[in-house]
Amino acid sequence: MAGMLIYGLINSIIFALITIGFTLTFGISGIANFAHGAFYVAGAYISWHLLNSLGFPYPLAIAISVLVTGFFGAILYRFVLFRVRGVILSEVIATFGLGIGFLELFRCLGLTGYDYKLPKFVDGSLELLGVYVDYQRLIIIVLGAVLLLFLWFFTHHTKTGLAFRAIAQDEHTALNFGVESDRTAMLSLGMGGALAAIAAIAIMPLSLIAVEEGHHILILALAVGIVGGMESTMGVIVASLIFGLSQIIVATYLSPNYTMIVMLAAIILILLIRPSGLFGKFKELEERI
Amino acid sequence: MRKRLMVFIGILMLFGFYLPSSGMAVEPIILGFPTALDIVDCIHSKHAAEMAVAEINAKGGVNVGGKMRPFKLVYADTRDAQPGIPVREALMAYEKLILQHKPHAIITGFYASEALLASMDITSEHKLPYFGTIAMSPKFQQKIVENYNAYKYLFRVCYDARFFVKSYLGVLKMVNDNFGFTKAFILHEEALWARAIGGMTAKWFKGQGWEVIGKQSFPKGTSDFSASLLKIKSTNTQVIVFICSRPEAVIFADQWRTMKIPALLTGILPALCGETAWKVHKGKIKGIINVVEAGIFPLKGIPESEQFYEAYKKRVEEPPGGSHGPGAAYDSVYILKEAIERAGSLDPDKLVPEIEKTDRMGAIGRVRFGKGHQVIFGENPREAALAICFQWQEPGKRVAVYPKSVATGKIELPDWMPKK
Repeated sequence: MAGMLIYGLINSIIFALITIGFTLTFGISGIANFAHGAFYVAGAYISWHLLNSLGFPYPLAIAISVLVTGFFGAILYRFVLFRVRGVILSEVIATFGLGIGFLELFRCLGLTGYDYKLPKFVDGSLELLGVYVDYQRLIIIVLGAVLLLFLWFFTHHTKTGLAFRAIAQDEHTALNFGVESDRTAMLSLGMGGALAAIAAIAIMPLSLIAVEEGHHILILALAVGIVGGMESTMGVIVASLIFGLSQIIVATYLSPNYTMIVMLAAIILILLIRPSGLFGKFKELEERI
Repeated sequence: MRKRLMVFIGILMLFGFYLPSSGMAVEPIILGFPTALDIVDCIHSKHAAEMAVAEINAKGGVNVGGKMRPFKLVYADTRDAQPGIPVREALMAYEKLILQHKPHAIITGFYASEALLASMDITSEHKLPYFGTIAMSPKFQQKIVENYNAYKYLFRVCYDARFFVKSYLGVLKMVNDNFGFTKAFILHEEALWARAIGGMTAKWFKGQGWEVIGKQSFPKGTSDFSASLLKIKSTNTQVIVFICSRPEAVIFADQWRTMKIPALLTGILPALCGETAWKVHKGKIKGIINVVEAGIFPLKGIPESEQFYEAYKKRVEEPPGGSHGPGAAYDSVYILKEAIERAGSLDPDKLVPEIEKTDRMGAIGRVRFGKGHQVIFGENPREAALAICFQWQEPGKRVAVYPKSVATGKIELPDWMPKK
């Protein structure tokens, strides 16, 4: 039981890390970035190449890949979403199409097989309540907590962060106060991309970098976002806890094959019962997507 | 003078065109190589087939009714190992290869049994001698037995799930004899061949008095096994049977080690089979028991197997890897060569009976086809082809533990597992 709780908690933090960039972008710009999975894979893929093809030191490779992925996010807004913003269906088609396109491009560039593995930050494991947990997972817990604190500080105590919140609350009023809407939305896409890359670099050493991860992560981010409430950080935390624990229970007592079914069923259920999610306050979800 | 010069140049040009064309008149025998080119077994099979082709061509090629013709390999990446790639796409790649290159035979073939079974009609339609060396579902030979005339062109040179299980059960029996272990947990990827192995192993366990604590499958692309490993630990499982030919095996082995799960890890983990795996994984694979086809593991005392292993290392600059395929792919090219020479023809209907007569020593041991065109695997390499169970032990050695005919050591428990 202790093992299930520990690993359930770790899974929850992994889910929160994966989702936070997606919901941040949606909460501010109103854009559901369906290319989030592609950004996630891109972050790890760029990092791997910097590390293995160009021989960069690991910390430098991480920093560059986070910045580059964030830059891709901003570019996506500036050159694609800027033109279709407000047309929900076009936003979805554009981000979804580009996401799939990038993932397939990575596949064509040879992203398959055993070679694409990022090294763990620290190898080895620690015994906690009779269960061994590897250091990488412990680092993920710390990183998740630090990132959430940073985001809280950023959105409450920095000018850009306050602009993010202003746009999220009421775009037109924010415009009246001189907050530049498109610039803020572009920054939110950039930040969403960078957060996806950070999540990938922390999580991918536990598995392998693979194209399929992009699809999987997108479904996961959607599920957590929809259940928790797309614009709510608290919603992300609560939904991540629900999924993190339920996944490990389902995999233990039923089969690992059912974990994805549970996730998709939760999306349908919450859309039927409470379309704006558990903590979604501002707008009904069906109006947004 | 100028006119004469022009005539001279004209004659030279005519010769110039004629000479190479006469050289090209010897048409190569085309060998199609459609497989999942991103999977370790398939990559090494490709190198092995290329080596066989190079060796044969260096000796003048294949004697087809008195005329020497070289082999030529043509490739198609069927991508059938990747999650999300439907069988339909793998078949399209296969048909494109057939229509574009018009191969005379197929070597190695599909990775996934689902794709192999679905492609059998296409292969028969084109009357292509097919030498499968990767996909393992026993339904393959069942289909051949049930409808010989339609599927007689297809052969399998690697082990199938049944032969694999037979070898694997030997090592499990040894585990039971040596340590008294009787609790097993079966975990396999969601694929036809893996399901077959999982099912057969579970059945055997029950018949032998073992307790099957759990039998789970997991989807392709799984990146976290903590739930299954926690269950394995909490149920005091003693032996893990892990069946997975994809990269997920690396993730599982790593989690098994870092979570210090007190159970022997055994099964198919292709990424951890090759001689270099210890170095690649920095020794973190100690204690894992893997089942491989001979060829990936040289058979001491069988010159053909030892020669293949050494020649491969020299040519490819790394030892053969994966769990199965390279030795079988190498042998397949020679089986075809010998069958063509005996038949004196490339006519598939004349080739089939000659392939059926095959009896040769190769990289995988003695190669003979049994019922349903499946190469017979056994425990003595002089009598049959061989699957070998080995364990990674210090200092980075693959110690053969089963069968007895090739065993060089005994099974050791992982460091964190209580010794009896």
